[in-house]
Amino acid sequence: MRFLLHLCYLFFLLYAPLTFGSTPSVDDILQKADEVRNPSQSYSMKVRVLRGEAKEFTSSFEVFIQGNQKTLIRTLEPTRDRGRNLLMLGEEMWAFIPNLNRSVRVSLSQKLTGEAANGDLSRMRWSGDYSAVIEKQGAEQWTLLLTARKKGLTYERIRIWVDKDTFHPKKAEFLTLSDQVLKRATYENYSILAGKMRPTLMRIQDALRTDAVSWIQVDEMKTKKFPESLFNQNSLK
Amino acid sequence: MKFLSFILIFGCFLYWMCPHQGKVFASEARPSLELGFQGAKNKNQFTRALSYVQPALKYSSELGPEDAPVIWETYLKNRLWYDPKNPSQSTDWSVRSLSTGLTHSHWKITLGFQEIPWGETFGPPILDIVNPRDFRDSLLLDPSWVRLPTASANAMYFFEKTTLQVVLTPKSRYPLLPTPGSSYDLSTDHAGVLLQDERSLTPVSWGQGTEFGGRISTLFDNGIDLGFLYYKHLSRNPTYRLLLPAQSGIGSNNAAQATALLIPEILPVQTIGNTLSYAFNDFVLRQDTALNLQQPLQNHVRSVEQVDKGTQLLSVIGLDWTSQRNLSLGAQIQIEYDDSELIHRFLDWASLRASYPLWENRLILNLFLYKGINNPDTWVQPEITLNITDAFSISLRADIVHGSEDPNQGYLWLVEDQSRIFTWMKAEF
Repeated sequence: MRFLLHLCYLFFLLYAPLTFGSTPSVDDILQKADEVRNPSQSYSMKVRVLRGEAKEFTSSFEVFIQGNQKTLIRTLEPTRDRGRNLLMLGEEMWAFIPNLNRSVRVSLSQKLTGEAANGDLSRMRWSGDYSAVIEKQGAEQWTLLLTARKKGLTYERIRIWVDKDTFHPKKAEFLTLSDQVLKRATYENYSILAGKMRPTLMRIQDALRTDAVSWIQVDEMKTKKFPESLFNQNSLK
Repeated sequence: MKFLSFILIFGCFLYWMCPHQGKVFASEARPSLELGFQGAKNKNQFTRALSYVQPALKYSSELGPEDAPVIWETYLKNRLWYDPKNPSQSTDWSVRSLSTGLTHSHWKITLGFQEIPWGETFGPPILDIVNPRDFRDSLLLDPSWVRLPTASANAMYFFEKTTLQVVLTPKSRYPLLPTPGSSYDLSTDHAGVLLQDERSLTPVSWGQGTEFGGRISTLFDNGIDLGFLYYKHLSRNPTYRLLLPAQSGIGSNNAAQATALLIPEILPVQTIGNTLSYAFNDFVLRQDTALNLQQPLQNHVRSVEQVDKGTQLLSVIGLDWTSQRNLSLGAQIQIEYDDSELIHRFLDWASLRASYPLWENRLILNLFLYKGINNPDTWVQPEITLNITDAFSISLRADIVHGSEDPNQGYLWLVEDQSRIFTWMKAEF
């Protein structure tokens, strides 16, 4: 009996910190928050971009993501922009221009549509791109401050709020280096996508022009591998 | 017909060599249709009233399993137009694309009628040499309209950040030059000279005039994308040889008839070139260089020695800037050095390009300025495009051109007096 008590005590000492009230590291939090938004290293999704509080349709895209460095965005609608595809390889970007029938190098400041920047679709992972610190810890959520590890990212700093139980990102502020808020985003309508609860709607609001609102609606998400040759500026058609 | 059979056999071969023949994991057909009208008026007359229909189909299927996907894509695009203002060719039907290809792992191979665009800069397409061009409307430079597809095999291998590309065109294709009697017919200015339609030249047969070459490009870690290329091809620049009455053998018994012939001169050329692009902050640096060996060079139309073969060096370097509001400004410098037995000339030009989309791309303002630095070439092209709906757009632009009377002083003497207003209406479905 005494032996069993000692065993239980030992078990408690060993595992209690892991099961009761242990705080995961900031990198773990970021990694798990990324896993909520990204089903795997390689996946595709169909998204719509909507404008204003009335959610007026503006455009739709097919997005192919491989790791943290390779993203191909194919424009499906509107008809006049069909084929105007974007390829991002790390911090380099190319656009396929249908009337030239070739891809041209473009700077990262080229905007996708409305308040949605290219980075909002292409940079779906924070870990790797940003280093994080826990700014605040409440009963239900962590507030993390992310700082870009490299140049060329759409946002220099991001503040995110992550749910403690589920690691669901709830909202974010996109900041300049001097901590001026550029945009605010909320992650909404969590439902099953690619086998897991994920946000299907992202609301992006300009911090200065608060009436300038865009929504990114994820309609479909598939875990998938792609040929390497898909992510090359010479085969962007 | 031979070519179609070849494509079919090639398609079957690609299908057979796939690791999972007979099993289609996913497929998608994307049909599209473009209806349009282009109208042009210069100071004297309407020169273009072209209506067209352009159906297209892209069919793609995944033949491999999810962990080793093989993508098979087929493109088909045709264009049919009618232009009552074109005196010798009022209708035209052209295959814009008829190609099939496989993408798998690190490579992509495409066979069939296709466009293979090379080059990084805008404006004069000095490295866009794989496909000949349609010069029937010499002021229309839109590549999707004037680049002529060739029946080619195009293989690309991607190794990390390096791309190796090999292109083979077994049967070369002539450029389409201005048709006799059209606004850009050079012979109309010269009494007694008749332009010979290049379609009456002996057609290139299979196996003759094979064009081939390749390109290697690398994206370096510092962001520089550098490429080198070689291509052996028929000349892409329009040049003409004057055949005098005694040589041409026509018109000698009727003084009112043309007595001399202006004959398109299309000769084999070898091109060595390089491309470069580099993006930093909101700027993109672009550069293209082409060294054309044995290039036919136009000297003077009225002279019997008007075409000479020589070495031509072309280079374009430019810088673009894009603002957060998608205002885009670009500046380029272009140089040309021609060296042959009869011709030694250096020409340079500067160009500016501005583009500003407004109201969520509903209205797009464009401006293109092209000015000779050591020659009088001038081309001003303001353009306004209104996207009335997602599918329907109207563009209105002006081409204000001025050139020298001396062909050694620039190129716009070819279109002197052709300044015009041009409209393009498009509906895409």
